[in-house]
Amino acid sequence: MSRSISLSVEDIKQKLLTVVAEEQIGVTPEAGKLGNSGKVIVYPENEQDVISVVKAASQNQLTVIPSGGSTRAGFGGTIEKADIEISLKKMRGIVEHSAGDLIMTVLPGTTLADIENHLTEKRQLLPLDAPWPDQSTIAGVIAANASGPKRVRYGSTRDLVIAMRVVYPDGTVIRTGAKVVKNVAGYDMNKLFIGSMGTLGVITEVTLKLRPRPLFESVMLVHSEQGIEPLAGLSREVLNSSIEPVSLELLTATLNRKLTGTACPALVVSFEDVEKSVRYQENRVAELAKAAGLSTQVLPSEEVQAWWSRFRQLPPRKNPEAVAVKIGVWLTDVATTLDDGLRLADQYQLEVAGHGSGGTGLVYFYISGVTEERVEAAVKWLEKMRRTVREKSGYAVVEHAPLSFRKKVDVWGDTGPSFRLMKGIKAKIDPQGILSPGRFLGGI
Amino acid sequence: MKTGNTVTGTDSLIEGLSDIVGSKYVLHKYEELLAYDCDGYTIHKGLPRAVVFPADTEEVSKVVRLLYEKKIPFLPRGAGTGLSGGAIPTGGEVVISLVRMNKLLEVDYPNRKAVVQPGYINLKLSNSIAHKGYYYAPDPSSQQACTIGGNVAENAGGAHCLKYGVTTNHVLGLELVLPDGEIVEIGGVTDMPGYDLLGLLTGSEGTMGIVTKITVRILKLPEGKQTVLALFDEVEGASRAVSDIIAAGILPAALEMMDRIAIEGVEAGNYPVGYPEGLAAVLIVEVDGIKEGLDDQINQIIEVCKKNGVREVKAAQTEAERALWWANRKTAFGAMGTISPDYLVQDGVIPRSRLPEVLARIEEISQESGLRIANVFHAGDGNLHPLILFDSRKPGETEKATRVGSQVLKACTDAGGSITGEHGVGIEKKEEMRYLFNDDELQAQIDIRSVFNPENLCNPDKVFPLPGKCVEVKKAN
Ligand SMILES: Cc1cc2nc3c(=O)[nH]c(=O)nc-3n(C[C@H](O)[C@H](O)[C@H](O)COP(=O)(O)OP(=O)(O)OC[C@H]3O[C@@H](n4cnc5c(N)ncnc54)[C@H](O)[C@@H]3O)c2cc1C
Repeated sequence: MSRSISLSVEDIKQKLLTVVAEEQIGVTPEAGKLGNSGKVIVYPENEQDVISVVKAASQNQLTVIPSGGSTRAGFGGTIEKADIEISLKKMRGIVEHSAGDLIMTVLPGTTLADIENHLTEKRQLLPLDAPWPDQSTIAGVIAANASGPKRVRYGSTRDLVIAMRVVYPDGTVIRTGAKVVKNVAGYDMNKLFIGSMGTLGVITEVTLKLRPRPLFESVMLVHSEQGIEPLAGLSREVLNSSIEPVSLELLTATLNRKLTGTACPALVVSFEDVEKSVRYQENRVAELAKAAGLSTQVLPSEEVQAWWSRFRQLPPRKNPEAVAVKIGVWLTDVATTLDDGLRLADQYQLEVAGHGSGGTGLVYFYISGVTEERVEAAVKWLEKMRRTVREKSGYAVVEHAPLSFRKKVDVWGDTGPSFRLMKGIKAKIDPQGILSPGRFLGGI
Repeated sequence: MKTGNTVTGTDSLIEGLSDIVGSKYVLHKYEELLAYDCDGYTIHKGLPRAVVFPADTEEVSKVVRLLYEKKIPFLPRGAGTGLSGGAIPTGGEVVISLVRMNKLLEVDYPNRKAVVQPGYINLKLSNSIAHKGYYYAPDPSSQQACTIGGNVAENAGGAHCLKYGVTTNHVLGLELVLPDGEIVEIGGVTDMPGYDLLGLLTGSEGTMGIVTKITVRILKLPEGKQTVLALFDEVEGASRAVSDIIAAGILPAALEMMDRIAIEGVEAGNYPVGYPEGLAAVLIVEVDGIKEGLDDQINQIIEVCKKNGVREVKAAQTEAERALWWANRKTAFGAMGTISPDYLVQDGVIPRSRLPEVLARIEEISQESGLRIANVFHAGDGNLHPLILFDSRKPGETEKATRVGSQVLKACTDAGGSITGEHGVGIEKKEEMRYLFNDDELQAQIDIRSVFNPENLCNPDKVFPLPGKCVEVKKAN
């Protein structure tokens, strides 16, 4: 699937100049430590530009990496620069917000913050608390399948995206889904692009399902002096009750210290509903916690927003000396996975902070201070972690790491039994392999 | 290779199938096959050449492998309640019935999941876990009969999907027998790396393989539940109430509506509520969640209904009352049989805000055609179920009903909607796929099918319009 010719920056520019204006093209000055940029960067202003660029690339067998806010530049892939980086940053804005239908259509480069700001006034909500809202674009969030702690209650992009426009590598535009909240006409093609890391098409428009904005929200912190297990127990009890938490996030002591200054593990239970119901649930959790000998603290309402905004800035974005790992396990394995991560961190003398959701089974670890000399230790940590979670039917994917790290280790891990089908899909849609080559599972 | 019994080589096929599952579990006589010539969509019929009942995944795989080698088309079948003809043979397919694979394999409460075989009946799952306070959210009205395998294939919805989502939002993993007989596991813990094949397979109407095991998410039953019944003299008022409830920031668990003819039907059915005469519309609104918050929501809903000219509005006082309202609603399709010899169910979806205008258009279509249309639908998510009443004994009326159905779907897509919200495309709505998708978009989907089902042996001739096939042939050459 790889191409034989290699074009110079000037050549690539010339090819692009036949389809877009000079001011839409830039040259990337130097190779960043994260890679995943392009020799030439182009800023389409509309879908037609995207089609033209992709077509030109396809005809000349040039490789293309689509990008948004570049918060995930360190995610996947082992190439420093593709021939072309298509930045969707300038395709930004709300196309339509149909408040009565609880749906909205936006351009791919619209940031989560843009969307949130618009919706707050209208008392609605896109319940997607993915990291870095000011930088993350909606298409990037979808392509990287990013989510946050509130997923427990609200689901993730796969539950919220109802329609898209996507430009295929040959320049064909396809519409997926429909702009209604319920639809089973044909295959659910939306799903193909969610989490596909830009390997199948360039997303040029997205339609999302919204919710009414909850009238009241609260964050409750439960601390444990006896390790994480009592918190995990509480989380299980909450899940097994009729309480309806929006998040149930366990924090390692290292992370809790960063966030609250208290160096013991914590559980973040949050609620969004009418105030009466929120207060009632806080009380019930407080009772359950008390019975387990745990202390609780409800954040003052005015601190709730700030809490979440800090939380959303935890994952590394540009830092070339940080590694972020996403792990998926069954719910009952979350606490031990967090413990394992810290234990191995001690063993390899790494600085590791982690959190994991008792409601979704997703665990995130952030390793900092991964200088050139520490890369080896971080790789070892990952390999050991992988072995542990594999025994629990889980996986570990590196969501952020410098290029040097990604060249040493397969960031995706096992390909799994259905890989043949995935390869088949890629080959059908992108037979030349020009889109984000090698950025995805198994070298797709 | 056209219809079942005259095919050469049928005997060796029956022998081969019998060797795998036992002769007791292979049907091939004409009279036996008749029961499998259609599903819940009765307008189209076609005989299978055989029906086999495998006992487990291994047997499914062996059966499929045999058929694959012989290049004989086949299709999976659950309970056969599908309403778009997905389980109807069109070219003598061998029907692979999953009804013997009907076990609940595992319930894992702490991890909130259950593993079932494909022939396990939807309602049984909720019933089996209710004692622990859990349930399975997708609740198609056919849930007493339909299988979870069929639900996955159709991405089934139900009355309570407004708040809780449809099947795809609740499937965690699948075991699948691919059309060449290979067994693969898909999904598992949250966000398994790779393309979202789980999401792609859910709703693929049996055209990508045969689902032999399903892991689903189970939910804790809500602490409280309250239901409001609102009776309107005008459809307009009811439609506006639907929009206003959503605009008030309430996300009901269910928001259902029935119009005049539908009310006539359900009142003649097995569960009459005793609605007063002359109603134009009935709304059922259910809210659930933490008890503390529910009263306020109920009051708000009642206020909204009053503002929109409701004749009578009340909250259910007892569980029995609530259950009756729901039984009446959930048996609405069948009840139409009491007021019309035949009916055709449509399944269009529209943006909720366009409800009044589309209902008016449907009324026009009804007047023009002379066929009565009852509307009973999931108003909250804009999923209409126009029931076109007709009499198949009258020459030409079946065709007319089909035509009217297509016009109704056109009205839905003209309003920016879709041709199907939960019943699937099947045979019925293949042509109407063109209302939504252009050739490129159809081809993109057919390309995906060809990855799973390259020889198109598994449920061929479903979902996609015929000219789409021409494109496929052109490309292949
Ligand atoms: C009275 C009535 C009310 C209904 N109400 C609703 C409703 O509220 N919501 C709703 O969504 N639907 C509803 N339906 C439609 C129908 O019940 C659903 O589509 C249901 O999911 C079909 O399940 P089944 O087991 O009957 O499948 P079948 O009808 O047997 O098959 C349906 C499709 O699934 C495929 N299939 C079946 N099993 C498998 C398998 N194991 N692997 C792969 N493919 C398979 C078949 O090939 C076919 O294409 C209703 C139907 C009736 C008759």
